[in-house]
Amino acid sequence: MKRLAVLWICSVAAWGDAGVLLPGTAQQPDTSVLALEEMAIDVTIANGHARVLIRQIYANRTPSVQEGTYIFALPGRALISDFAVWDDATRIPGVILERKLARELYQDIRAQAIDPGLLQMGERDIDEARRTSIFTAKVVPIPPNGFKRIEIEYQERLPVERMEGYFAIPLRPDMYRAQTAGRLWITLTLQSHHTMDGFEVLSKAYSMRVLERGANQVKLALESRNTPLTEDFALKYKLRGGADSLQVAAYRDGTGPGFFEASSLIGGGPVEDAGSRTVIALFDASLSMQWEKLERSYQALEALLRSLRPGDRFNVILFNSQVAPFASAPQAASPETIEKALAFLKSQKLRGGTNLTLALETGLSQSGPASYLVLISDGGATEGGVRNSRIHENYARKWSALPAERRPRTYVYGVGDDANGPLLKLLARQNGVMEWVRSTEPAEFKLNAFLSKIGRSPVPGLSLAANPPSNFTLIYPLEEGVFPGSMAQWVGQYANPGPATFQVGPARRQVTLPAQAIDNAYLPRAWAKARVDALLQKIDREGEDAATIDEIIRLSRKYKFVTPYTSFLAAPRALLRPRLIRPGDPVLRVRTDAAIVSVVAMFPFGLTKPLRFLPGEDVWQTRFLAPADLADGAYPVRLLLRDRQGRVFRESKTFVIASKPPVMNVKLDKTRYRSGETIRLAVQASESARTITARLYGAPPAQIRWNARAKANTGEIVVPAHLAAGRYRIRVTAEDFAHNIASQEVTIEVAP
Amino acid sequence: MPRKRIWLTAAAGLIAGAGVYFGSAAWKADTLLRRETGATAAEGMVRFQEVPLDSGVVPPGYEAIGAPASFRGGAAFRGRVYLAGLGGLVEFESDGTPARVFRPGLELPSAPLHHLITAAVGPSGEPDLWASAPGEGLIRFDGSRLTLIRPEEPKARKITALLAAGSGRLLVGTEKLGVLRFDGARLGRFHPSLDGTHVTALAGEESDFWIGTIGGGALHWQGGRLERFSENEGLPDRQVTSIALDGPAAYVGTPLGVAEIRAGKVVRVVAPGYLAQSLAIRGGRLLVGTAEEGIVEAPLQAASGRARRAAQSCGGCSVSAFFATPAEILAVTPDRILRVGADSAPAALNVGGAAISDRNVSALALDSTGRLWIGYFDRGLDIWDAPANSVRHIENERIFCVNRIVPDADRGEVLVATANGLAVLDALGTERRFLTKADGLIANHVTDIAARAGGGWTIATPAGITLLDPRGASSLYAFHGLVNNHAYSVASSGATTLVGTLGGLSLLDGDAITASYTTANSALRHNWISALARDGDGWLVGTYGAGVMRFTPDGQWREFPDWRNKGEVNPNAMAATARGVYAGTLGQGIAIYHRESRRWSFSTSGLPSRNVTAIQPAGEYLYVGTDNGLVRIREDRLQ
Repeated sequence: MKRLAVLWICSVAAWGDAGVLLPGTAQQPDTSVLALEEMAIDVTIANGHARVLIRQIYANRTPSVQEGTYIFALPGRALISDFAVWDDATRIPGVILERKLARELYQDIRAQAIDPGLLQMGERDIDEARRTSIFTAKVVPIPPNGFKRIEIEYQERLPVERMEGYFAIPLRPDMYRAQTAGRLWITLTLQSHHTMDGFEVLSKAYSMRVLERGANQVKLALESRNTPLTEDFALKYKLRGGADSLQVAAYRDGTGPGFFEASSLIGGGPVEDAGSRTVIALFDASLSMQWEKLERSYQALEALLRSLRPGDRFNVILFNSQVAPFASAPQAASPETIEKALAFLKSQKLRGGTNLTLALETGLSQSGPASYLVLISDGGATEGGVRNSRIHENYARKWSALPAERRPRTYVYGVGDDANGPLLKLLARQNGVMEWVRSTEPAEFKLNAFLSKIGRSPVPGLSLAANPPSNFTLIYPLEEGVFPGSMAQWVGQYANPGPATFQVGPARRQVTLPAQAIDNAYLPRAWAKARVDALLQKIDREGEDAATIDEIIRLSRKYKFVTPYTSFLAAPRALLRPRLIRPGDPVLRVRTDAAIVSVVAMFPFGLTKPLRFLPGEDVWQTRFLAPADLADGAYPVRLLLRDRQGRVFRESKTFVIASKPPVMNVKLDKTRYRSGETIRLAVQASESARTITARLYGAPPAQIRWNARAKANTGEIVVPAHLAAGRYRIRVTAEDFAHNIASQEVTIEVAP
Repeated sequence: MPRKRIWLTAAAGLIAGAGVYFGSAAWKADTLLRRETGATAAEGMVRFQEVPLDSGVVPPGYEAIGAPASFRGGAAFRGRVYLAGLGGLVEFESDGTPARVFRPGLELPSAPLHHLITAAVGPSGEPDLWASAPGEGLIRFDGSRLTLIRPEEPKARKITALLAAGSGRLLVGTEKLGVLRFDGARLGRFHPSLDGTHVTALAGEESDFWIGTIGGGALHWQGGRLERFSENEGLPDRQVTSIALDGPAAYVGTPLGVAEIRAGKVVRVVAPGYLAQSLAIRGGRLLVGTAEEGIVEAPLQAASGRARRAAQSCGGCSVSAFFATPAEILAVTPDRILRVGADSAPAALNVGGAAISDRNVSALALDSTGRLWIGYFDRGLDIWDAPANSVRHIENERIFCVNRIVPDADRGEVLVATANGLAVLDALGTERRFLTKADGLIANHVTDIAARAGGGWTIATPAGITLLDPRGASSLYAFHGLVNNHAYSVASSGATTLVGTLGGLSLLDGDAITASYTTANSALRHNWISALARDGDGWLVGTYGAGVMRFTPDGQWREFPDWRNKGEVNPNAMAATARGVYAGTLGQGIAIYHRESRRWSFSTSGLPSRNVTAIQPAGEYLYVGTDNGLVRIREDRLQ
């Protein structure tokens, strides 16, 4: 007797985890099987370039060989630079290879019944593109009652906003139960050529010791035992502008050209544009924005609208294959109009197809003096012009055709792992700013930084003059537009050591470029990344050519980062495996190598079913029903794959039966409030709840998060000052990984 | 009263001259004699009922539509060959002509058959034919009478293997209770150490036998000792699919080959890489029945050669069992048996007579010409013209997992909701369009379709709903206010659309969501809405856990006391006629709402399975689809 079950084939994609090792096909860490014995994190931040090395040692607590899936969700700007698994005393590292070669090797290695893995980027398909931010690797074998050591390194450039830098390592699991490290070490060295005017460790769960604290260097350390990783490790530091605002760092190892970085801290300055603004928000409501991208976009739009001041005007234009404006012209930004706009947005449906050109033209038609065009989109155009260059040229032409006072500043908020970054960057060149948030990273810092720039202009005409010019080549800015309070940075090469002068605006510095200096070891890689970005933009404008591709491949292999033309091939016996999440009914879909000619699925309740190959989708598919007495939970399904040579491979996938939405119970600290008062919510929710959000009319949504002390999920909403007295409902919504929704409403009274 | 014998005409292929058979016997649980054992439920014992499956007076009006037999096991018994499978039990004459057929829901309980052996159980010493009917129990056939041994404990009915243990006993492998032992009068656990074992295969005798498991390798019970063999000991895989014995050697089949075990050690792996569904030993050879490659044979002596495909193999077929007659070994495939004789002349015994292509029905619809469109769980669909006795089968890489079929008489089209998209076919079944996400659907997996007022369709998917109209496709899901993303059923009346989801019911007026109902804000008893049927000015709403409720025009919910505490209505398995409303359930057969009395009743009579997945009225008949076949029933018989 079979039961229809709501389930999804599980991807072990993480939402924000630094190093989780799941045993077997488990959906959660299980310390009775694999326990995190030791974790060491070494962080070096040099002039805003962070290098993070994480080493973890897992203990197998069972008397049998284990295999595990290692998951690491990279922070937004991070690029992985190394990964290795230790096999006893042998370190097995991953390598960067040309993409085609990586694929061939991958298939060869797989044909030997060893399972390697592949990390790629640049795919348009949503599931593929998740790979750029989520790193997974199969770790096998983990010896019985033995240990396994895993190392991962990534590098990240830290932005400076409002004279502050921010750094975080995502240790708190979004998706999994918190791990506990048997022993935890954190060492952090923060160096800055610019004087630091204070720093603060934001995470309270880790008591860092200050080993050194100076104007240009801070050293922190932590050593602890049995530490639950319930919070991200985060810190911020303040930089002081002034006379030393322009700093130059150099690196030369004695062979070939040297590398330099010039960084100029642009002073805070007064906030400009205190007058009224007109904000035209273009909101992408196409099918490609489904799920997390739509949620993040809505979050951004809501925050944008709620940040408007009295006197500001706004309009919201939804677009997909059509455009749907909230109003025919910008409206006064009153709380009521904003609520209406948000309700309008929620009432509009998603449509397939994206006509970005039409959306931009519609936005331009509504712009006026002091206008901001804010585009919230993944930039994936499918109609009305799809080539980046064409879309941008059309927009730039129309933008330029407007009278100067009507040309809006073009602010672009890119959403999603697969966002069309190159196009979005191009659009932001029309006197604007671009920010990009991935599907899985915490968005608050980036969103706040983005919104804070509305009303402010980038510093115009900022450029670097390096003298003598003949000594310098291939200089690239690291930011497109720099605002007061931010850092303007350039990287480049120099041919010969000796005296040189750098100037940015009024700031000037004379330095002696070294013949040999290896302290700033991050510089060559930072330069290579900037060079590759420039080459990719060139390809986008002019098309591919062999020389450009070769250089991209060479640089990415030398400095170990992934590009559209190279892939990171993990060592044999350490696997990178993309996973698919498919909410819905039990259809099993598996993607395999082209060499596989048959796939048979074996289910834990005894059913054996061959899969059917779908050539149009290049995927194998079958369908099954779960037995009536199979409870909700995760179950393994084993796959037998046979190739043309008759070799058989075994693989395992997991399906989750999730027939029930999360269950929750909402409690308030009281039920009567005044305007401006804080409402404290506590929500008991089932473990499957992934996100919990509380909404009150007129107030920004509140994310409800797990609070270990309160042993509940807690959050706060501030009653808006403008809210009239009366009864209101707070709607709390919980969503699980299968996108099942549960909601509960509680009523409050706002007293006059 | 003697039963009328049914004769099948054997015919190859899927199209039969007579696709409909009139049942002359039906199993009715509420009228037959029952005999309970005298044994009390002592520790380890399992109470059971012994139910003679006698024929009764069977009212006309029940017709089983011929479907592929899908054989799973076979046995030679009293000079005849018997095959058991999803279509029941078939007896063959010595010349291969089918003699008698015993069908699920009619002569047999509403369940398919697996495993077929001969065994002498009880003091008589006379062997009978034994089959397992998972979910129901054991079937015993003495050559003239059928008896159901039905354990009271549901876990004891999940039978996965049978073994004639000798000494008048039968060993029964189960999914959750390990091994049971039956001596004709008592049924009990074989040994506590095997409790909880998911048994997949049995071989040997009671004092010395082998047990295959689903994830724990193979177990060898010998004189009270239990020895385990898993991958650590050399099995190619931890799942055991079959076992065969040859003197001191045991051959343990797994998905990756067969392990030969001698003297407590795995000495070699035979036929590595083959999914060994079944095993047999003959003439110094090991015969391996595989899942996709027919029969592979390997010499029993090591180093005498490698495994190779048997001459009598069947290409890419699946061989689920072997059984022996005095003269030969026969291999069972879904639609034929193969003779694996000592000579080299292969022969196949075809058994056909199927009117339709598969047994697992997921959708039914009647088009304007009266043809029945039958959608299958994963085998595409048939367009069956019963009077003309013709069927057109449609199955390809896009149309194979069918959820729903909805004819559009105005346009002369038929919309087919599949797990891969929405197919729009013409009246002959030719594909006109195939819509997917690329065409604006919010997801490729389409669960239901309903026509919209003013033209167009509402399309339900697990990711929300898409409204398809002359303006194009637009979609909404929980972000826009739909009560839950997983939409299972949609229905419209005028401008009102109901969307049944995993998390409640949403109402749309035009394309705007106007209300949502859940167990938290209404008298709805279960959030999972699986089916909708218009009833007067209200709706009958099927749920997957609380049966059917009535939803009134003013937004109120009413229960029906006849539904028991639990009741799963299968997705879109509801249909209404002037006489009544019918709901297909997961395990209670068909639920029947009698309009006059306003009461519900439940029936499994004549159904090849208790799991009813689709219902389609057709004049004075109802077509009732199940996961094990299709029947046609006169409506007045249900009322």
